[in-house]
Amino acid sequence: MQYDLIIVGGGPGGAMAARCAARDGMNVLLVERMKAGKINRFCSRDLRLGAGGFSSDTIPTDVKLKRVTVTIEVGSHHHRIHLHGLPPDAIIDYRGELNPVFNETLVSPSGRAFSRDPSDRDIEGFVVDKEQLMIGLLAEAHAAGCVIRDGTRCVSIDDSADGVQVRVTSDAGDEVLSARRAIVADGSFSTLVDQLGFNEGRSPGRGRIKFMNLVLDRVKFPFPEFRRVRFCLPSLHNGIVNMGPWPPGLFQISTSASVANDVNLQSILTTFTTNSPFSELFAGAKVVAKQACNMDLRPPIREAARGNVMCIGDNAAFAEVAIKGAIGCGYMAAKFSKEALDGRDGNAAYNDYWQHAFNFFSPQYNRRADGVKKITEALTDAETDDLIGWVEDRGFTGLPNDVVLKHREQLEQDLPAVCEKLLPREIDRGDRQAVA
Amino acid sequence: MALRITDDCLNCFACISDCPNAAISEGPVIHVIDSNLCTECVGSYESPRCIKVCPADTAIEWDAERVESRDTLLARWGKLHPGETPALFDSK
Repeated sequence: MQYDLIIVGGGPGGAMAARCAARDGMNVLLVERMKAGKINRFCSRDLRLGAGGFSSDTIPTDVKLKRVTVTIEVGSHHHRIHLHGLPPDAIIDYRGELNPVFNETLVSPSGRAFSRDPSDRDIEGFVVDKEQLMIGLLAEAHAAGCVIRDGTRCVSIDDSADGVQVRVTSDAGDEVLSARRAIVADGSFSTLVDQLGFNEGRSPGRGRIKFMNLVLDRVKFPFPEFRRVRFCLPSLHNGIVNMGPWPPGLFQISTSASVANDVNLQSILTTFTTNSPFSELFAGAKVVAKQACNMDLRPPIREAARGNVMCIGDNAAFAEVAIKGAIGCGYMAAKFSKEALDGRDGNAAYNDYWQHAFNFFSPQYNRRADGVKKITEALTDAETDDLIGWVEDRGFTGLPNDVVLKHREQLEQDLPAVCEKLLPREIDRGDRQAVA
Repeated sequence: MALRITDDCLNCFACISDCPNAAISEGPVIHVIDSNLCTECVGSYESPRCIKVCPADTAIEWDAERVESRDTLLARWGKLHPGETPALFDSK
């Protein structure tokens, strides 16, 4: 039997694509290698509202970006997530919890701090129950006629003029499934993208990083309002330790490192919680769960739709797609897959959407992201205290790169040694620019 | 020695696709290394790739009960990669 569309991956992107495609009358199969609706790997539960980026809030002017923003209709148990920039049939029903996030704050070893937003009272996003979100989408996809097979891993996809042959393996053994088209939504650590040839010409960028996340209860949260907290402790780790709320009613701390460096993430997080300036926050805390993942920090794939296949979400870019981006991609991939089946150039339409929906396609944005060295890599503990204290004393707010770039003249005057370390004349950060 | 995955495995899939011999697969609870396919990356890398990419630090360990010589591992690599030239590094 041949499907119209096979979707690989039951995360937010794949689940949204499945729902849209099924509701549009396509004969759809979704395969998911783990248990449907269950997240094993570490991934963020942030549903951000605005169009803001991860490393800079400055709106790029070099590319005409049409980024998806989110608003939420909040009910007593039942919320509706609206994606602006997409038609009304993209609205999602969500029945999980909403944990408001009010800001994002960078903290120095001695506790100096500055935030992204001047106000601690505006909601910038929510930490959501991502599994509930996915379960809801998958249920709607199923109700609309999508066949869902979990415990089924896609090994490879052959794409030809006749359609796609999707090789899967499960408890039932190995099978080859046929479809006219495929949407590949297998996440930040994809094997299929490589197997399909989408990595040809794509620079390795900054390479592979590994993440570990600890879910904790009974943390003494260091601020009255929930937010993303980003701790800098260069003497312990050359990366940031992130902390935030985590459903249901818990907290997470996580960090990452390049796989090239043999860094022991478990020992970093253990030391952070038991033997660092911040340990007292964790005095009564217990680890409830651990999660991990890898990510390839390669530049985005520009032509993410080719032949009969569309690669969507984290597998086509590094981490900044986020939940709302994945849902937007899933929606558009389904719509444009249908157009392709109806004889129109769905691939061109999808690629056009993809290339204008995210900051990371703007060379200007990438220059701002790469233009300042990472604080935890470049500075000592004392210098970090000086820098963050300087920002706090002057009342500057914003993302670190934006603050440093905006006030560089003042920084050069007040903290010349720190400025030189963060903004050296030559920076080699690897190539984040998108390639075809 | 062969490599073994412990209960500290977090099922994140980082190692599965990186294994040059496709020796790692999902087990019922944690990932599993097939010791008949593992060459400890002799033939491919300077040190085991799975250990390199694994975020969980204690999830992959050396199996002291299964010690194999470098020659044995290299021969196995050759059978798994017919026609290819192994990448060799100084023995430790």
